[in-house]
Amino acid sequence: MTAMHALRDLPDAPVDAVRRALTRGDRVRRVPRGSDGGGHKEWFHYCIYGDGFDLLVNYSLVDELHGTPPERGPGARRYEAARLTMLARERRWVGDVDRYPAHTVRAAAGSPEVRIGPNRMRWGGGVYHLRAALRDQPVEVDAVLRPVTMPSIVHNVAVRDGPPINWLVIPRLLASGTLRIDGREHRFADVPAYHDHNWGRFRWGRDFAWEWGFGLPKDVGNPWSFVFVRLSDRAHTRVMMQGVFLWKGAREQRVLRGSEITVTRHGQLRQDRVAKTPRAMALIAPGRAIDVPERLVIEADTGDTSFVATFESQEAAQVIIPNDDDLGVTIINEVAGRLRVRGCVRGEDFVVECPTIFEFLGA
Amino acid sequence: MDFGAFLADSLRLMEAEIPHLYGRLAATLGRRDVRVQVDGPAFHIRSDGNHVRIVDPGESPSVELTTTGRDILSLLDAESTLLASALADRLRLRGRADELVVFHDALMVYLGAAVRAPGFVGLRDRFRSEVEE
Repeated sequence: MTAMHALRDLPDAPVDAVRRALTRGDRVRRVPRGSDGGGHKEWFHYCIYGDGFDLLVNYSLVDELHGTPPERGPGARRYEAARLTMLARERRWVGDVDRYPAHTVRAAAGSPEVRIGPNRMRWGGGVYHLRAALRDQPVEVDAVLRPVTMPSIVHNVAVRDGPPINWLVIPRLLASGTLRIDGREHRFADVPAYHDHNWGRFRWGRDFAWEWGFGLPKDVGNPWSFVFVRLSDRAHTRVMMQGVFLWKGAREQRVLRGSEITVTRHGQLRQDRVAKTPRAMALIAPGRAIDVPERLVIEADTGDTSFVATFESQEAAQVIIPNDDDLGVTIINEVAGRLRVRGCVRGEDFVVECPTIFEFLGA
Repeated sequence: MDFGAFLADSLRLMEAEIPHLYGRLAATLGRRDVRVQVDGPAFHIRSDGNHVRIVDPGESPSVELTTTGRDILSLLDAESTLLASALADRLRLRGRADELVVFHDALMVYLGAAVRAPGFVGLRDRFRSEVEE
């Protein structure tokens, strides 16, 4: 069974609804410079799982509050910049973060397209077109991603110590295209993919952290998709929001929030070597200590829904971001691993087992 | 572009692009000279607590640093760490322990400023192309 067949088998066959929802909802959210308080951040995030590779591509737009780029002169105090992050994994993570100056960026408010230098992301014709290549690392992708589930949009997620974050997620897409890693070519067709889009005016380094992940079965005949998110303080001692989103086919089937789920971290992931991007940030954040559990268990038993989800960490790569208001850094751990979910929703058993990437943000 | 020219340009860039961190760098260094030798002739980083300049070698540096352009690139490319380079004698630091601590603090401020200065990447790439020629 192909995923499109799975979609068509649903009684409401919402291909057009998916298209309409994304045309309306998944567009550049930043506002013209000067019309808000500044500090807007936004990114379009994609993960693709082929046979023999994982790929993460992130198009990020940043309204910087500090620093004056040379082209603006010493009087200017704000400017917009963009970053392309790509991490690819065959056996080990490789990748980089490439920063581009404002004059190379095309990302108008309300547009379905982002251009960052020669790299491009565009929503059109019911698909996402991605084209991206790193400057100094041999990683290059050209892909088309077709959503097969409805998105979920969560507005105004409160974080401590700052304005809220907004989040749009599509847990399941089918990706086709070509990935080149160090001269090796991976051609892929209809492989699982994930996309989310985040925006807000939060400040890196403030008192928040997140854990986030998803599961989408390689078997496209399996209709279940799984997304987990938890926002906490940086010390992980106070949870501000947590939730699990379950899709069956194209539709969101069940959302569990707050005390409906229990999350426990077990052990500590240890690695001999940690890939850090941008590479020069390893000078500021050296070392191999990783704030990532060996195993993360998410459980629910609410009466009509029960499940146990276990994420086993395999290898982390770190994206290291300078804090906005101090000389510290924020580390985003992108962790390849395996997810296994077994549960029951309203009398229907389900299983999701897949490779995935979980993200753990910390100090 | 030799390392002295690179460092001088990067300090000017920081002063223009992120003056608050440039000021913090100068304040962290205080009134000190650091003698630096990277491949070519030595020079001094001189701070008066408010400004940091590259000058010809003078008397009594607090700290002396000797390394090569290639070793600096290996640090920027995360192929080595400061500790590993120092232990392997690829980066030599000489000075009193308390002065080395101040130098390390200043180096962290400099690196923190470098990763926040938009123009730094272009400067680094110019330095890289000269070293790799």
